Amino acid sequence: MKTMKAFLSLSLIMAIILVTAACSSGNSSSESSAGSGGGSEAQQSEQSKENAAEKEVTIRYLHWASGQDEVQFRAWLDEFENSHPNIKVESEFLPYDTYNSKVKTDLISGNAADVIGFTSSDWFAYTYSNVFLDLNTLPGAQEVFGQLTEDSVAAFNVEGAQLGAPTGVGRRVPFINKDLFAKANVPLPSQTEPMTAAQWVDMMKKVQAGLEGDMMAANLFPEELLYSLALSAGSPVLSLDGKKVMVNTPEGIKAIQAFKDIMASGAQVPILDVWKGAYGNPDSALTTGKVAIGWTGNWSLNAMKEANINYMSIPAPIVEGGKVTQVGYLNSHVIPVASKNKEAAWELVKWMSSKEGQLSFGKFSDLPVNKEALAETLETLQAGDPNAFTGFAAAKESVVATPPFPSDFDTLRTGLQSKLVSDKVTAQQFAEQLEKEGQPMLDKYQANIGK
Amino acid sequence: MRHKSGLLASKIFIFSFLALLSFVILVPFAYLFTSSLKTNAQYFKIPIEWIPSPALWSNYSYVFVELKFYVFMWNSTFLAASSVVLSVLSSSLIAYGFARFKFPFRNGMFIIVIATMMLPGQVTMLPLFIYFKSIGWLDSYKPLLVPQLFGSAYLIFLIRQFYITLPREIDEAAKIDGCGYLRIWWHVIMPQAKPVLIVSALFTFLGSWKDVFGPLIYLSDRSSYPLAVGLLYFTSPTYNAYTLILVAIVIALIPTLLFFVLSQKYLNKGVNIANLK
Amino acid sequence: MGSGRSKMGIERREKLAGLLLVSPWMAGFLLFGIFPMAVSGYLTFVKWDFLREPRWIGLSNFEGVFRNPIFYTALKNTLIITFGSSLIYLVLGVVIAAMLAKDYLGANVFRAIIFLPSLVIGTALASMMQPVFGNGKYGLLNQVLNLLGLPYQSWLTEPGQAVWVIVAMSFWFLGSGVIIYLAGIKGIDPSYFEAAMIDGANGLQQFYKVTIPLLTPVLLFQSIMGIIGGLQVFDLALTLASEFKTGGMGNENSLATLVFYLYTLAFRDYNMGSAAVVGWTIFIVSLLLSLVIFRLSKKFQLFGEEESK
Repeated sequence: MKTMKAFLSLSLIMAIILVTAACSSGNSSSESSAGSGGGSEAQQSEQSKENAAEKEVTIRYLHWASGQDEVQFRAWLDEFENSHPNIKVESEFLPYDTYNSKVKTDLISGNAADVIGFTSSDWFAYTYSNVFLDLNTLPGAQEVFGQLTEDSVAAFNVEGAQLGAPTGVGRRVPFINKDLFAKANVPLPSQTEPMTAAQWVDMMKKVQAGLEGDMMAANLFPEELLYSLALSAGSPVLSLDGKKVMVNTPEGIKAIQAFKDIMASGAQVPILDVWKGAYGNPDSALTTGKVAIGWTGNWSLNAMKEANINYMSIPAPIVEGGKVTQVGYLNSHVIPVASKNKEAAWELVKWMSSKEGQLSFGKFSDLPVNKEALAETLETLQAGDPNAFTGFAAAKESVVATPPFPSDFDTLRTGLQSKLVSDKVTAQQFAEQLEKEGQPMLDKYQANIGK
Repeated sequence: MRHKSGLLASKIFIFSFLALLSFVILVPFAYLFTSSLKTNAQYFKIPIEWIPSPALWSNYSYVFVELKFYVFMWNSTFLAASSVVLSVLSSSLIAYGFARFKFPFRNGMFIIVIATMMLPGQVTMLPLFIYFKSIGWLDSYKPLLVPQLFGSAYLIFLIRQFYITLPREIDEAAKIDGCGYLRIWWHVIMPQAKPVLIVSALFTFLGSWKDVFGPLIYLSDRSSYPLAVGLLYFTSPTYNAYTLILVAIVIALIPTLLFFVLSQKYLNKGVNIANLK
Repeated sequence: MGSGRSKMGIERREKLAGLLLVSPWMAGFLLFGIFPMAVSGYLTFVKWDFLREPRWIGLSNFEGVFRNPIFYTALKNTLIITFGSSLIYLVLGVVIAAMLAKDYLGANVFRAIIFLPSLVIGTALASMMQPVFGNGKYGLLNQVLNLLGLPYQSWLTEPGQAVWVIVAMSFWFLGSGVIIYLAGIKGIDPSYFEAAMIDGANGLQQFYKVTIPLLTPVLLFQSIMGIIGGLQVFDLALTLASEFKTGGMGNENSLATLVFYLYTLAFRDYNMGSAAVVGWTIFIVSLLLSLVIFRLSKKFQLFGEEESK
């Protein structure tokens, strides 16, 4: 008898599993097609009952950040909570490496945060996925977006639907360690006038010759160096929408050659060791104290101050006769369609885009996109720390957001970059191969994410 | 006796070979350990300081407590221990069925058990992911634990091979005494099978402890990661704190040592069982 | 004897009990084996990113995967790792086990040293090996090369070289096999060795005349498990590749393995259809390799049995 009992209970467990499996899979398929299934609706009504009782909403917020950034992002959200006492923001921060896969999994499982941070290129992959709310449908949208720079708003607009609210522009420029320049007996470069690639190579070599031991003249950001040189030559690596490889032109090849000259000057950290090793990475290079020229943005300022680095920002190099242009990242926030607290989430996004929120944001992170806040931030930053911010000003008007691209294209380009530096391909072959092998990758990617 | 000098030479050869191999195996561990006691600056000093001075023991408490490394440790332990209980019990019960009962298609089914043991799980990975996603099990331990209820082919095979070597007389006698099958399994078979069960437990523990793919795809919440995945995404608050990552690795090795000490006694017995044909 | 009826009853009861006992496994096999495999087959014909509805696209996934050079890089790397590490496990593993089987000075210590690393989590081992195989003057191995007057190597970043680092890492995982061979050797009846000694066989001859033939079944089992394991190498590659900013599979995909590629397609690009094609490739390759080993082992086992009887 006992045996039978045990067997019965075992089969019961299995039956339960089978039954629940069958039920919930039915549920979730309707969820993915209609946007909200029976289960979530029930939860929603439960939630609203709760809201009515307590008048307090908790929304979840997800952004990438680690270390000090995390503290500052949290402080920013605290500021919002103070001005909106009935909304609590539960925040989660992840290092950027893992961020995207977490966001994707969350969106897939319908368990995403109510407000999620995105860079424009990561956001792009979801253009036609119907997972983000069209913010234009929310009250006061025209007003909010009217205060922001037109370019940044347009970047997140898909055929009239505003699928994201721009929040900031992340920019990197070369930063130099003035003490190491003095040590090497090399005169400081201009903070406003960009030098040509040839002048850069010359400067880097001089710095390297004057440094002792295992110090390095430069740990520059290869991708951004290449992108900004190509932009300055008027032949960007990719078109703005990421659909075409544009660099295979005489001007583009000139830029690639300039890139090679700088990276292979012998004064730059080997291209494959740029991200890890004794010289940190381009963002942290100066803080190691071993590198004279790094490549970073205002987010590294605190770390540099803590390490007592006597820093100064300078404009990025340009090709001979090229114009000053700079690569940037547009960052934004989205509200998923599946969010159960859309009103409260919209309150947060509105506040983040407001002059008030943007001014606070500009103090610890990227440059704001709110027109008034931007002007004010730039002014205060430049006045407060001219060493840090004058170098950014050279390209103030011409920041170009990095276009979206798939990861296999990234691998291809990175591989070509190292081949170029080690003389395995010429600048011309670089451009040809990037176009020949990379264009199909872009086409496939666009077809995948497209309608 | 005839080859005395030859024997000595071969002994010396074997000894030096093993010594060299052990040396090569140990060097990275030694390097890891000394590096974990350094600052970044010390770490990148050339030539290598094999005995760091000062030695930064504070790295350890910092990683373990401040960076909450113990969370990963606990997650791993919980996952592995649960897997052991679920997998060993269910497999043992199923193995009992295969070893002691005659029923239609028994041999055919057992061949399938052996076959599934030898085939990689990647084909079923995606559908299972979709399946667990659709029943809302993502970001929980359920996808990692519930399948264990249904037994693991490897353990079923291993335990069944042991069961068939056990004398049938005792359980026949128990049956005549009127014991139910389940009681025979629990009171008669299981106690006799201790060695194979312990080995199965060790294998399962190790398998779960080392698994990366499962936790990586099913878990996205950092605080639920086990060690194997936590290490991968172990980031310190300050950029490029290389030596702190090394500390994390050393801490991750400690349970391995404990495991080794605990398992020593049973391993010899156990692998003998694994060799049964 | 008159108890025929109750005997029949017992038989039926046993039949039922046996079926019930193995039923969880059967259910598991259907639920986590057969059914997902069928779904996986369906997936190969659709385009699906989880967010939008799956769309039937015929053979496009196969075309996409089999025309992609990354697939062949991954396949090649996987085969190199599988054969390279299996060879190390089998040949070196048995040799070391035979050496350890002779009880003498320090055998226990050596056994512990060789066995211990095989318990280490793959991601931990790979991340501790990163600085050993580091680039330039900071890599430990490069410093050794430098002492020997040899040029620095880019172990992990030189395309085509990184995969050999993974093969080399199997030295650290040797122990699990060694322990099993060791038990096997110790389980061999000493009379076989004595007989061989009387025939005048030295240690080496004993090894391949007695040890190897008697160990054949174990070797067969271990080599199949080794190949299955080799085909599934993922954690080592993933950890070593995490060095690279791109989030790809190493410099120029030099660390791509089939499972890594599957992971990338499925959980980085969310291209379920193509990932399912790679999953089936892994399945079929391991099926083929297992069959080949069975064939080969039949031959060898024949010789082994002749020798031992």
